[in-house]
Amino acid sequence: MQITTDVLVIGSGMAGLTAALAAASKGLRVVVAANGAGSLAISSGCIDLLGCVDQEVTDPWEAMTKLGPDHPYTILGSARVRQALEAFQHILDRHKTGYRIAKKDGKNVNSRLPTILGTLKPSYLIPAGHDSSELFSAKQVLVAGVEGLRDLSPKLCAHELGKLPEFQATHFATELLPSPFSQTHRGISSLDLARQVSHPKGLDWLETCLGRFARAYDVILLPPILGTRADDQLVQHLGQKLGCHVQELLTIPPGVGGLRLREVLKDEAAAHTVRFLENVHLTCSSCSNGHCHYVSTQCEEGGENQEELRIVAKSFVLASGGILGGGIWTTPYEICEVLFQLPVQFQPAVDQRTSSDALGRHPISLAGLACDSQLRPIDDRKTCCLDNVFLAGRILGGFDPAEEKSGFGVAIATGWHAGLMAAEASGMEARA
Amino acid sequence: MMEAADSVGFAGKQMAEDRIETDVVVIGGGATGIGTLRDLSLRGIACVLVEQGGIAHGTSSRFHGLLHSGGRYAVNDTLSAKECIEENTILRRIGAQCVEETEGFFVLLPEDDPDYVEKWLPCCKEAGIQTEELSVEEARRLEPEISPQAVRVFRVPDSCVDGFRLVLHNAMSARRHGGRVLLYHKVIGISQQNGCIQSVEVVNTLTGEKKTLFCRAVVNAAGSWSGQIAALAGLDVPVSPDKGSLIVFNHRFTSRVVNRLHPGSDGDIFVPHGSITILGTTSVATDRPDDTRPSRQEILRLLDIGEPLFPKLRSYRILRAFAGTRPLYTPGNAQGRSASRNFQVFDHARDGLQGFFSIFGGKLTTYRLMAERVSDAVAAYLHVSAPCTTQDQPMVTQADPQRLEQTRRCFPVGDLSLMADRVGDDLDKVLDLAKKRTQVSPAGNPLICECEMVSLAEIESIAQDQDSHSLTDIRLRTRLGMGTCQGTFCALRAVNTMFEHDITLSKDPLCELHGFLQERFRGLTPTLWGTQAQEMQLSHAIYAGVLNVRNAYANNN
Amino acid sequence: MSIHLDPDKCLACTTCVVHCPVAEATPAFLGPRMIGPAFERFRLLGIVEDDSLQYCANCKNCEIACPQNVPVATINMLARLAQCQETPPSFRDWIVAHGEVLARSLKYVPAWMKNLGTHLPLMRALLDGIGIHKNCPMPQFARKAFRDHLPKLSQKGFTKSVAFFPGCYINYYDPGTGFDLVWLLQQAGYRVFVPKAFVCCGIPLISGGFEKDARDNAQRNLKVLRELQAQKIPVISACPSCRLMLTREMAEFFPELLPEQSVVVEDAQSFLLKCIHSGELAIDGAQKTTSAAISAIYHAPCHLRAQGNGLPALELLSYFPAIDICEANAGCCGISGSYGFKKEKYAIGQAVGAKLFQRITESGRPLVASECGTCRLQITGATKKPALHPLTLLRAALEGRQLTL
Repeated sequence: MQITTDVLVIGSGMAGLTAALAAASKGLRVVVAANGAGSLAISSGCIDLLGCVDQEVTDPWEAMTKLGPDHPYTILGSARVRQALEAFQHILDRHKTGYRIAKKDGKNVNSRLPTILGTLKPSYLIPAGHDSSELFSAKQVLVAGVEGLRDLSPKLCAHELGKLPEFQATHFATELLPSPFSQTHRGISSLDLARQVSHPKGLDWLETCLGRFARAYDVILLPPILGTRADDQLVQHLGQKLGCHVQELLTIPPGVGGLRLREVLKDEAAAHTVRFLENVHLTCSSCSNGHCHYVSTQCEEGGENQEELRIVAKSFVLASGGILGGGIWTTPYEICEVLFQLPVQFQPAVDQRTSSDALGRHPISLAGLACDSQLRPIDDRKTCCLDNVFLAGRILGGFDPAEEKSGFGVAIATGWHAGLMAAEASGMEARA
Repeated sequence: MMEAADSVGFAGKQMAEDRIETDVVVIGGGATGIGTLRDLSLRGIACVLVEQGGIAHGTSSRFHGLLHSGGRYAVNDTLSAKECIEENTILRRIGAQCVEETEGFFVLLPEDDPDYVEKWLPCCKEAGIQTEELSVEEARRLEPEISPQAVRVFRVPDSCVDGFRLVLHNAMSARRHGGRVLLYHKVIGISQQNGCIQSVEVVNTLTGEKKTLFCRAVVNAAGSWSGQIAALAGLDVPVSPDKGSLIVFNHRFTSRVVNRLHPGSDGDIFVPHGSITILGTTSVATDRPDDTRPSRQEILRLLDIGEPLFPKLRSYRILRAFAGTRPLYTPGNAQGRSASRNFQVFDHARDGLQGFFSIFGGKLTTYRLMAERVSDAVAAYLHVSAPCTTQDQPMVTQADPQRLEQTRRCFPVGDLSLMADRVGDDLDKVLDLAKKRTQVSPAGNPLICECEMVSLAEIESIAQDQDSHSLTDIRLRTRLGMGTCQGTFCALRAVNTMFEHDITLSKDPLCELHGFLQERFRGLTPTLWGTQAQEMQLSHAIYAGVLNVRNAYANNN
Repeated sequence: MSIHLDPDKCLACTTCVVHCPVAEATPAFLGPRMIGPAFERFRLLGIVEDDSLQYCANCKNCEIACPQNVPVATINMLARLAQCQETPPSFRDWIVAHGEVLARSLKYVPAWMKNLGTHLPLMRALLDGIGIHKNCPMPQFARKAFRDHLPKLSQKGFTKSVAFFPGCYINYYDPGTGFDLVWLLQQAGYRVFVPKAFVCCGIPLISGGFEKDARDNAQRNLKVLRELQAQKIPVISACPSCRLMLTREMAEFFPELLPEQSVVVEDAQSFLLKCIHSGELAIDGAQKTTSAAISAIYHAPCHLRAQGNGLPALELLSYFPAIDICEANAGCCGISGSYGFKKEKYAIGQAVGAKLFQRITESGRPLVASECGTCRLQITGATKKPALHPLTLLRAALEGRQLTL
């Protein structure tokens, strides 16, 4: 089967969805082809912009100026990064998500969010449930876990938080709430609980459990179990009911917040009639003279019996992910880009892919494609390889999202602009 | 199979006396040393074993885990082959929990010398190793992944043995008979008086405390380290460490041991172990007994050699790689595969030191026989006439199926056999804990490690053991973190649930977590490509990214 | 069974767990990652099966979501087949898996009499007794099965022909869709025939655990498909589950039957799209209509989404201004073939479909479109809205008539 469209976005993670929204905002026909659901759905939903450059930073915009020339932020320039984030935030606001950015001296700054492990992690654009503004001035804090939820030990979380200089005047109490599930041999996750709480019966369970702590604490820290919708209604509701600030902790996958955010973005995409092709295993591209014509699920020119899905588009956004997402593949000898066989510029020597510290910086994390200022792929002589293919998200090299805490920031910034530029390349007049 | 961690600085919870008196000190907590401890203890001889790391810290947990039928040695070394088949039979009897009776195949490929078969078959017969030829179709029906190019296939009574568990269960048995084990104790001096052994001085590597062990005899069973131990007594033994690297694959693509039917060489043995498969081994001379870092080149070489047997080999996911050093007996500088795999018992009386015995060379399959021979020598020296009985008694008690069935509902996984085999003598304790936890709450005994199916009760019970100092110690005994995710999800859950239930280890939870991840990571680095590189990125995104552990860890220290 | 699919690509990332509708509906299910790739490593070792394997609905949402292309649901189904060889499935499971055998044996019983079973409270109570939930929607036998009626239909004698794999649902319960397809293909210049030897694709047999029966059916169908392929006659299917089985899963479940290339069965909508592109199917008249006469909401069946071929029906219907169609985009309907009929699964099926039912009701559209017969049954049962096959909508648009609902 052949599908024809203006813009094809490959990948439905944060970068792909953002690119699709950007292109669709210009009134174009957009198709998203995805192999798997992308890691947005299992993430925390917090949008990190830039949390660490050698050490933790407060003002990500200021820190951005210190990044090297190959970093996607440097290539885009902070003005375009800001433009993308504002556009994205606008979408979030329209859906009444309650995402917000902390302010300090009138400037937008990072927040420090507590995790289930009792560590703090810098992030930027924060969903309502993770709002940390009350935590650092709180005197009495309750960390509440749920029986059977292995991902959070309230005692450990409180123990670690209590060690931090920020909380020397804070008293942490802990509580293990009884499980709302009757006997089950499944290891329950925060998502199971969040789904439970999104029903009246589950909310009732939570209110009953926490009811006896009403007004006893300034802040109650919970795993991310406050429903499955990306709005601040449940947070507000519980806060009022309990007379304190209720805040969610960052957790390991499934992180719940990402799923909430993904629903919002998919709704927005549906409103723009972006079409999704699921479970599509694109394996081949047809390009000539530095221009891509179509991508396909089959490599050989099909005989009539071949079952092929071919997607013809005027421009393409490649947001197929990095090593984890499958856009980049590693072998014992080299690192390659899967679909277009584009040259991987940030390629560490095979015996130097890692450093000695498991949690340290690893050269392999920087692996990815290089791009020009229009986010098009370039080779080692900095020549554009394909003029209608735009790169977004983790497929780009030169940055380490885990180390820098910059993953979704880069995804949104590059995704938005890749989407806009793909729309432009598609030759359509902007509608608005 | 399990590979041990490097010993890291944990604070100890060992016995505190600084003087211990005993008859025999055994040095080395591998299969031979602990086997000797068991043998001597069963003979009623008081003995203490010292080991510089955790149990089986050296070579015994760093090999492919093949319990040889002897087929591999049949042509070159009939004595070894005979010993192998005899010991193989004994171990299947006394160590049912450590041995998986898989049987093995010897496969002749087109590139192998077909005449070798004609040499091999009579040699097997002579050594008493049963062989049976199967049609290639039948062999491939049983093991579909084996190459269709196979020319001939023979069945032999090879089995798989969990080296770590074997050592552990020997220690459990020895303990029941009065044997003592000092882990994380390094020998720093050996004193003699008038040509007789007087004492052994050790230091606790976790606390720095020193102890003196007064004794009448010493058994040097330090394997690759035995040269270093002998040197402390001013002696020389011809032992050279020889590095062997191995690959761990994510799933059990063969349910039988598969050997190439040719003169023994690198990378020609595949051994299934529970949920995984191991391919080994290389042979590289090294000057360090603790040289346990496989190189990428070695791994690629193993894949090259293994591929003809299993054509899809490169598509199977590699979990990690590890290496151990064989203590080869190398008189006159024999090297590598040409060096004998036979073992030697040395009575150093001939070097002028009474009561000092060394045992080295050999292979894990014959560890019990080695222990028997050295114990015979020691017993004779001590004028003890009790004979060896290690071949008769099962090492740990068999689990009671009825009791398992009754406790089944207290576990998140219905099949308790894996767990029962792992924990050996600790089974009752684990079952009691599981019952207790589930009485408090139905979700009280959750699965902590989903890849290897380890529940909280098992972890808790092992953590309470005096020899468990770190998550890595718990890992070795439970297989926590040894499956697909290599600790990505379970490391955190283990630390969480233990802290929540007030089960403490030597270090602060975050340090434990970091140490555990570090150890897992180390085995990943020589094989960092494909799916495993993806897994590493996921782990990194979770711990370095979302949980920001490195910064927290840096700030804490 | 000695077939084991390689679980190596699973990263334990939890994406499948997040997207599994059954895991969302009930904590009794251990979840796709555990029952699939995690347990698979131990199945090779002979571990006792987990009881919750039976909860997997084989809806394939895990596979659709998995970024690593792990065949999670297929791993589960293979495990169930192996399990059912040890412990034979129940009588109820036999009944729901063998719809075709039953229908054939009741061939001469009038449809009204057969359908009594789905209306009479006494019969429903009896069925409930054997494990078919008393409230589940039941398909109604058509007066005459499609395959019995087709030879009597007068078709224009074109030289081009297509073989149609009707599947059990269209054949016994929904022949109207089959006739709509014949009409459409006739417009495009094709004669339509159903090879006699075609039997049930086997997907219900797989879900029910009947390995041998499924293999027999696969063998029979393959024989026909290969003959057709040799004659270069295209084969089409209008049921996503049948097509999934024939083109993908047969090779996974019975690799020995398909040593080389798998067979090609085309999606009816894709085929018609090609006819439009090639000019075989003229749609000029219908395209001129500008007012939307048909307003519908489209539900994409999970088994269609799993094929990774996009949504050809939406593609096709978008050519016709007379049809105003929007996508429900609300996941699984919860029926999963016969899963939602089963007494112990009925509540799960309803919980799974709740979001879709709500979306459909809120859309205000009078009509639902979906390729899958049992999806339509489930949707109509829950929302009381009529649900039709997209081909029926297409024919109406081409004929320029209103749909009588």
